[in-house]
Amino acid sequence: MLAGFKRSQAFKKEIKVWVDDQIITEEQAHLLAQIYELDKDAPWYYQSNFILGGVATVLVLMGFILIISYNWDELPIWGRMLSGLVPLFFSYGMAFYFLNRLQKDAAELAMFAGSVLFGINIFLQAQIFNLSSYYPDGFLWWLIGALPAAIYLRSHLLGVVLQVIYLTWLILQLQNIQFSWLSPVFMAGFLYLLSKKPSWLAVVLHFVVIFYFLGNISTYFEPRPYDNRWFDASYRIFSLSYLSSYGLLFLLLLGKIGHDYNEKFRNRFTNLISFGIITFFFIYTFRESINAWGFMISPYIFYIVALMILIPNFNKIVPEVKFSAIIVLLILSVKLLFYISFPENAEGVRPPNALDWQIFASVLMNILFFIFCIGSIYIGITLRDKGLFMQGIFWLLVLALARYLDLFNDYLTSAVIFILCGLAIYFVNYLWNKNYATR
Amino acid sequence: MLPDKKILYILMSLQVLILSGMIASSWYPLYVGTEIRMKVYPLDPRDLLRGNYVRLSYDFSRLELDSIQNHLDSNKIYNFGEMVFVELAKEGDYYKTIALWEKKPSNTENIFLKTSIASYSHQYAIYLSAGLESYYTKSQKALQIEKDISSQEVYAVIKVAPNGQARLLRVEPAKN
Repeated sequence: MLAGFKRSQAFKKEIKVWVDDQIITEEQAHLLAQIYELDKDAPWYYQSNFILGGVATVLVLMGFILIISYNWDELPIWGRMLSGLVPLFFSYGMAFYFLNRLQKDAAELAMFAGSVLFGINIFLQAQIFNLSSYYPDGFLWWLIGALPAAIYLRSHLLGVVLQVIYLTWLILQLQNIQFSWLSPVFMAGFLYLLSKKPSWLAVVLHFVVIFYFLGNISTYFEPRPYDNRWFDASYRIFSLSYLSSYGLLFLLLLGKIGHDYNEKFRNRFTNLISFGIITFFFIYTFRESINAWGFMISPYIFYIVALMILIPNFNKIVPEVKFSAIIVLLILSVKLLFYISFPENAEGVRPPNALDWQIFASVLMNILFFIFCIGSIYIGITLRDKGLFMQGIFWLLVLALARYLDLFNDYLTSAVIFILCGLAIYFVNYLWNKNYATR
Repeated sequence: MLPDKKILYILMSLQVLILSGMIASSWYPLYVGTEIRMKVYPLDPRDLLRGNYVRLSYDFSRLELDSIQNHLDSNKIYNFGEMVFVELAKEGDYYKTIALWEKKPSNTENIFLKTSIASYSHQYAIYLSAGLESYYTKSQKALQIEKDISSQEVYAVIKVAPNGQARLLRVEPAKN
């Protein structure tokens, strides 16, 4: 356990110099690192002095900030400005200092600090000059100034911080019923960063961000107060449908660039998105959902994405994506069918609350969902993909349970449906055993 | 691979440029502006990012459209964030809002404030913001200003640049 010894880092650097000067080879350097355990992290107790030093520095800095705060009103304007600008330029200076010493990580860390301080300065200067004009602009400028740095340095830490800033900016925009064309530009920037620098935290955060981003886009098409959206059924459906389509698109992207990501994470994430899309489909097998939410899926982007994934060239990338795309198309086809079947009434409104409409819709959605389950099982067997097979079984049972509760009062119909479903599964099981179980 | 110094310079310059622009535009009215006083109606909240401040309301913050000269286009729908100009006239030691314009008229010597629309109703009222609505100070001082308001009139000292851009200098009780 030599990695924690005081001189081990110097030894590590010395070995690198030997390799650069061709005194020893890469293999010999690797062997030395193994013998002296230089490739292992130092145990936490060897790092405690670093942690304590960090805590001490933070406390001292906080003390200084309090002293400045106490005298804030007495400081001249330039004094107040310098209290923010000096740490900013110090960070820039440190970035170059470390760069000259070829310490890449430290240089990036200094630039990260600089980009955070840049944002702090925006709000500090706003305070100094008593600026109260359109508040979200501060976040906007922060993003404009710091996102290029995050992308260039491939800093996922800064990327995560900026995604939080972006999220705040989006929420403020929604509250003010605004949309900016910079919004998709930032989104593209974050996506680029995600593709270049794998970070599961950034990906998870990205999916929170995307929900508000889609809401922001909807503001462009339909300006209305944000607060109402959460209580507005059609908006929830709108968001869900766009979120699902984005999920599809993201899966496609993950299939292309995901080789940089941990395979376990990729699989789990793919399954999670597929699960979300199927759940969305399943919700529409309930008549109550159709009654409460209507069938107001905004289909355009959804359709484009689904078709894009089904284009032959994209087929080979991720089987789950293709399968999810089929589900999306199924939902949308029903939507379009309804659209044609139930024309607008005299008031120019389609009758989403009409009883016959709801019954028709729910029966059709149940049939489609059943076809999907059987299809999933069948494709699972054909492709010998146990995941798809089990997915079909799982959703078939969920559907059965849901309808069991629905149809409880009508024993005869329930009985017939359940017997038929049971027979269908029995047949699938027979097929599976016949083809694969003995192999 | 080490980051390229030139690109790092560009990235830093972008940040510095943004901050410089912000500081320069904030300083501009302070440097060239005319000092005026306007009556304010404060309220004391707290801003998580920028600390304690007194939120101020002016006579132009909410304007009844029939109470002033309204030169806005009655057929146009004005959206959030659109710029309009408020014309101010001196009444005693202080300035009051007398008119509302879509564009600043050139043939007048009155003072104009550039404001943005916060909310607009065609028939009745318009809500405006001039970026002068926050006065940042220590919490004790903010409380003192609140106390002053309950007992006397409080005024904002403002610098207004020729282009209508304005900066708040300070908030103080009325001169007796």
